[in-house]
Amino acid sequence: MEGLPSEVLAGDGSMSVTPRGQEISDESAAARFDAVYGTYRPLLRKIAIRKFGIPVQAVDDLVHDVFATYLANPSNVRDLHPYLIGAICNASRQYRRRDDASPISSEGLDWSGPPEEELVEGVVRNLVISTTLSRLGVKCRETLQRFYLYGESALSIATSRDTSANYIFRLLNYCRNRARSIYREMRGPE
Amino acid sequence: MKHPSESVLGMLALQRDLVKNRESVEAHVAGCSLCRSAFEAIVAFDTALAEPDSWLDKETGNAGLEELRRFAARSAAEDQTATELLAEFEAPESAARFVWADLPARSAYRTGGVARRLCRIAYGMCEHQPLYALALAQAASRIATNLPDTSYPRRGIHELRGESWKEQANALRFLGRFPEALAALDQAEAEYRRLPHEGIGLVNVQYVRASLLMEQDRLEEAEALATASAGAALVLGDTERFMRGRHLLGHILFERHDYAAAAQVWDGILQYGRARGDQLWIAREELAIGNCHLELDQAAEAGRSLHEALRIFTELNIPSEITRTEWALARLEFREGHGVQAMHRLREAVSQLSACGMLTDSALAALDLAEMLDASGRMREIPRLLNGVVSTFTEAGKLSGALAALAYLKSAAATGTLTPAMLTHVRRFLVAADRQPELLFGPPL
Repeated sequence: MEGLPSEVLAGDGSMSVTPRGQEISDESAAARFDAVYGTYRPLLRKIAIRKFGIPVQAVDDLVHDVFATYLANPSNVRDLHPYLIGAICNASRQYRRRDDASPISSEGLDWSGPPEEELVEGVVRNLVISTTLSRLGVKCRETLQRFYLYGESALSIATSRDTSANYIFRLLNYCRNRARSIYREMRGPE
Repeated sequence: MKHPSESVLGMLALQRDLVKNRESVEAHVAGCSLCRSAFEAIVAFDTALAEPDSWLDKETGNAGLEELRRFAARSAAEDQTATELLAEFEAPESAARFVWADLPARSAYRTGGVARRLCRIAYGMCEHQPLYALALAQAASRIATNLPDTSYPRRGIHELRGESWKEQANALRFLGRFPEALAALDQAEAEYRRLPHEGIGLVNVQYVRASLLMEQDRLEEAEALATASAGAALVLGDTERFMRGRHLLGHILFERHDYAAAAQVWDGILQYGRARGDQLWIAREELAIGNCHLELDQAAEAGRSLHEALRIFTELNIPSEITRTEWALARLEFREGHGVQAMHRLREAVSQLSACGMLTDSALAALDLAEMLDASGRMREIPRLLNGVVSTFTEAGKLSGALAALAYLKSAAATGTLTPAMLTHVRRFLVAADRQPELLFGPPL
């Protein structure tokens, strides 16, 4: 009988390991981390929120936990993309077990919620919208944010600006259509 | 009515009361698929605007990011320094110097990077130099334990501590010190459980624990853990670790004499190996499956698998695996009635296994050969064969229970009292003693 593949089946794929003799600056490691973080944070957040119902205010904490564990021993991770997804699922389950009155079943591999492609599409859409919004003028951006993100009424925004609610609606319509126009330029027609 | 403008549709979605001729616009949208689809796109965009992630930029609400960024930079720098500092200890012959150096007592070595690097070296060393691997892992553990909890963000220090305990367990397993290995695994698991979420560390702990339990014949527990380890690896997208867990499961089933089930598990891995073009997985699984067919008396299938394994191992030039496959082929040939050919092949395998330093395997193959000689009426050749194995063990300084068992068998063969039951007893003992070298031999009752 042949031997077992021992636990000595390590992987590489370390983000922080560099060939010996190659200089590594703090900046380059931080920049590589930034790239990984920027790529995966939106997806990990989306998974935690959409698939596991993690509250928005708690989600970055979980995402950071996942990155911190990865950074503590990166050479243990062979394939970063599925690892991070699996890790945020585990972190979300653990959060639910800890904080939920009715914890979800965590043992199976199946999860309820939107399928993977839908999540990824959602992440891409959010990323493009986020870039779109950053290209709007300050007034447009702020008005949209107050109305859509914070759920403030048009009347409340109007009062704070000493104007009418109808004017705010017209402004919102203009700003949103402007944002959609930028969005279409970036992504192509819907 | 002509199609309403985007501005009108936008206002309809936002505040319908502000749309002029609202009823006719709504009626048009209801009947015009083009406008309805444009309207729905606006509503979907509005929905997306209400999602926090649409307003996300890297820094928003992101107090922990800077800490992680600094940590990434610090870890990378530590890893580089550690690689340079520990280069002189990477060879197996550095063991004595390493122990003497007492690195954890020196401040330059008290970093997470050094602990990580020590674990990596131990990891590569445990199969052939388990004592040195243990010393390396213990040093890593001392360093990781003495680092302040706050030196790693978000309890990440427990990942490092867990890893160092896991490496100790791995080395102890190879040393056959099972109770200590299990205790080290408990420590590793306790550390990993203090992390905010389950990661690869726990997958590894489950795998090593399953291996240990299998070696102690606690097959039911081993099976459950191997299955759990494979499943947890899959959740983390680590296909190789998933396959490794499945491969172990195959061995456990084999040990339980459930050869058909073992073959089925290994066949799944074989398909994976083929899909990936991974020759090592293919050859390893072909050999394992061939051994199952051998036990199931399916000679044709066994022959196909074993010859394929032999071909690939030869191409890959892995002498130990080539010899193991030759050994299985010899057993197959004997069953097919080609005794002379089989014994010639097996004699070669015994020599090769000795030459590779695989003494237990060499002894086990010699026992198979002794059985063949016995069945072929060539009992007189057995003492000389066993004498050779005993000499090999003595020359290698393996003055263990295994040597006593072989000497017992040699003596029985010399006096003509050797029985198949004695061979079976000694074979079982050799397998057990390989895993637990401190075992004492006793003759069969």
